Amino acid sequence: MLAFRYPRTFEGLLSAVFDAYKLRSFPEMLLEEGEIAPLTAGACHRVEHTAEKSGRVFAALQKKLSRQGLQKAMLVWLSEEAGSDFLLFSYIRRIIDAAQLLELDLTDPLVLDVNLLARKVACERSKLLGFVRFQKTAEGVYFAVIAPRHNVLSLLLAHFADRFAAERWLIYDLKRRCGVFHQAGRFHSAELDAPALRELEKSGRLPVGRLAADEALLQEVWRSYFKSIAIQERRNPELQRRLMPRRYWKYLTEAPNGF
Amino acid sequence: MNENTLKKLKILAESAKYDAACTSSGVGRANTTGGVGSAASWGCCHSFSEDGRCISLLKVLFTNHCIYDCAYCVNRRSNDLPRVAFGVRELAELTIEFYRRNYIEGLFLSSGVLRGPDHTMELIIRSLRELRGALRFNGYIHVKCIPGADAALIRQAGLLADRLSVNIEIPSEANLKRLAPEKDHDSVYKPMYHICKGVLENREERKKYRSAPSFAPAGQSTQMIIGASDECDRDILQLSSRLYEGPALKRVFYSGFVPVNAYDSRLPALKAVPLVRENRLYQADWLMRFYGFAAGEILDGAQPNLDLHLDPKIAWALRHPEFFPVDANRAEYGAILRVPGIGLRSARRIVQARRYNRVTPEHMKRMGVVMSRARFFLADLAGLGQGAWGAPVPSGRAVKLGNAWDNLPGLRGGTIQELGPDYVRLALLEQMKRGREKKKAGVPVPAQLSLFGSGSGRAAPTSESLLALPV
Repeated sequence: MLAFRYPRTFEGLLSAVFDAYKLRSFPEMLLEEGEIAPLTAGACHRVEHTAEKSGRVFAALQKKLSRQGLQKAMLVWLSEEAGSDFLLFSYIRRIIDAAQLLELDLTDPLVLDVNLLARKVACERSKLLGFVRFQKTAEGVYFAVIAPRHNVLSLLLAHFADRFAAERWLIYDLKRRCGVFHQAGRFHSAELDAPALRELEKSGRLPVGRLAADEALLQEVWRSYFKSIAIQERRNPELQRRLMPRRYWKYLTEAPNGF
Repeated sequence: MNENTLKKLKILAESAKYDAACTSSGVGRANTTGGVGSAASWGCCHSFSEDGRCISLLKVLFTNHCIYDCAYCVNRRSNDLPRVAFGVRELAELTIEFYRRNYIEGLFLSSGVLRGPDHTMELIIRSLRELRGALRFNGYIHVKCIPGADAALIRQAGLLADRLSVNIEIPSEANLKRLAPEKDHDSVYKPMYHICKGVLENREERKKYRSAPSFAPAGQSTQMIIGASDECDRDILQLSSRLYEGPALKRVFYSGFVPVNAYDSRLPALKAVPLVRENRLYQADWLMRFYGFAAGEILDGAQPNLDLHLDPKIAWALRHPEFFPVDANRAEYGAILRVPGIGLRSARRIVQARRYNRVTPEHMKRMGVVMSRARFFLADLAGLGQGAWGAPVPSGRAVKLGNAWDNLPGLRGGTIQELGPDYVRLALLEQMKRGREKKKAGVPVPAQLSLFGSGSGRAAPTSESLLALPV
C-alpha cells in the first residue's frame, strides 16, 4: 500500500498531487510529516513541497473548476475532518482526469462527498457570522473567541472587516491557538499571553479587569434583553439547542454562567 | 448607558416580543467610509432565545404607552403596566453598542401609539434619523408602520429603513373591529398600499438614476395572529396568497395567539398557544412561495383547516394519488418538488445530477431526500440492483424495514397507487409516531433510510449488521 508523506498545508497537498502524476503512481493513504505510519502502509514517498509544483496543479484546477468549485475544494481543506485530505486528493485527481466538466455530477460519490462536506463548513461559517461575540477591552479593542469544529476563521475576516471597518478587532481561535487582529483594513496575526489563554480556556470570557469600563454593564443589558425576549408560553429549549448547539454556548455572552 | 436603560429595555423588549417577525434578509449593502455596519442579503441569526426563535434584530418598542385598547395586545391602555419610552439618542446608542459586539444584525422598531399615529410615526422617524444620520449606521432596520399614519411619513420612514411592515393582526375586518374597536382594515391596507407604491416608484426611479436613494429595499411584511379569532386556515391562506400577488410583500408572519389578556371575554379561552397550527400555516406558506402550490390546492372547498397531524404537502399528496408515482429521472423540477420528503435543495440536486447519470435511491438518500416518506411517491424504486437496497421488491409483498422502522410490522412496499392513500397515511403516521418515541426514549434515531430486507425467511437487519453494510 503506497503512502505519501506531505507537509500538511493546502499547497503541500497540491504538491503531493503533482508528485503522484510525475511518478505515475497514486497513493492509497496520506500521512502528514511526523505521523506514525500504520502497519498496513508499505512503500512511502516523501513529498517535497515547492511553490512551482503546487502552482502548476492549482493552474490546472483553475482550468477544470468554476470559481465555486475551487471555493468548495478550499472549504473541504478547511474542514479538517479526518480523511478529508485524502478525499480532496482523490477529488482533484478525478477532476484533472475528467474529459468534461465534472463538478456538477452529484451521482459521482467523490463529487457528492466534496459537496456535502463543503456545505458543512460553509454552514459553520454562516453560523459563526452570527455567534461571534465581541467584548470591548480596556484598550478599546473588540475581542472575540471562537472554537469552531472546522477551521473557518479565515472565512470570517472579510465580513467583519467590511462591517467594522473603523474598529480595531481581534478574533481568536482557541482550538487552533491562532488569532487575527484587524486595524484600518489590515490583518495581523495575533498571539495571546498565557494567563489570558488560561482564563479563556476556563470560562470562555476575558477577566473583568481587562474589559472596558462600561462593558460589564452592557453585557448585563444584553443578557437581560435575551431573557426578556423569550415568550415563556412557547418555551422550547430543544429547538433552541438544535439551532444553537451547546458547543457554541461557552463563548456566547448571553449563555447562562457556568457555560 | 446606565441602569435606567437596562430597566427600560427590559420593559420595552417584553412588550415587543409578541411580534413574530425577526428576519434580516432581503438587502445586501456594503459599509460606507466612516460608517458602522453592513447588511447581508441572506440574513443572519445571532442567537436563539429560549423559545427557539431567532434573534436577529434588537426588537423593541419605542414606547409602550398606547391610546388603543386592542383586546389581543399586552400593551392595551386598560392594562396596568409600567409605561416608559426611549430617548431618541439612547435607543440609537444602544443599537450601535449591541451591533458593534455582533449581538444583532440591526434594529426592529415598533411602538405603542402615543397621542396619535402621526405623532408616533414622527418619533420613530427621528430615531431612525439619529441612527442613520448622526451615528452613520449601515446595518439593517425594520420599522413597523403605525396603522393610520400619513403617507408622507411612511415615505420618510421608507427612505431610512430596509423593511417596512404593517400588521394586519386579525384576518377578517369584522373580527378586527370587534377586538380592536379603534382600528379597521382601511387603516392597515392604506399604509400597505403606500409602501407598495413607494417600492414600485423607487424601482423605476433607480432604473433612471442609479444613485437615487432606495425605498424599503427589503420590501414589506405583515403579521396575522392565529387563534385569537375564528377565521379558518383557508381564509388565512387565501388572504396571504392575495397579498403575495402584490409586488412588494415579502413575508406574511403567523403568530400563534398567546393569551395575554385572559380576562377579556371577547377572546377565546386557549389552553396553550396553537403552535402546531402556526407551524402548519408556515409550511403551507412555504408551499405557496417556493413549491408552486396555489392556496386553493392546499385547502379546497371541502376543507376549512389544515391537518394538524400531517404536513400540508403530504396531505395534498394523499388527496392526489393520481399525480404519483413521480419518476425522479424524468419528471420536471416542479413535479419532483411535489414529492413529500424532497425539499428545494434535494430537488435541485436531483435535477442537476440526472444530466450525468441515472439517479438511484441511494443517491437520493445521500442528497438529503427523506426516503422513508418519498418511497411511497417515487416511481421505479424497486429493482434498482443490489447494494443497500437489496433485491427487487415486488409490490404488495410484505417487506421488513431496517433502522427506525424495523418494528413496523408488515409494512408493504409499493407506491401510493398500489397501496392506496389510506394505507400510506397510516404508514406515515405510524412512522412519525415511532420516530418521536425513539427520540423521546433517548435512542438515537438512525438516518432516515428505509432498508428493504429480502422479505421472507431472513431476520430483519439489526443495527450492528447495518453498520457493516456499505452505504
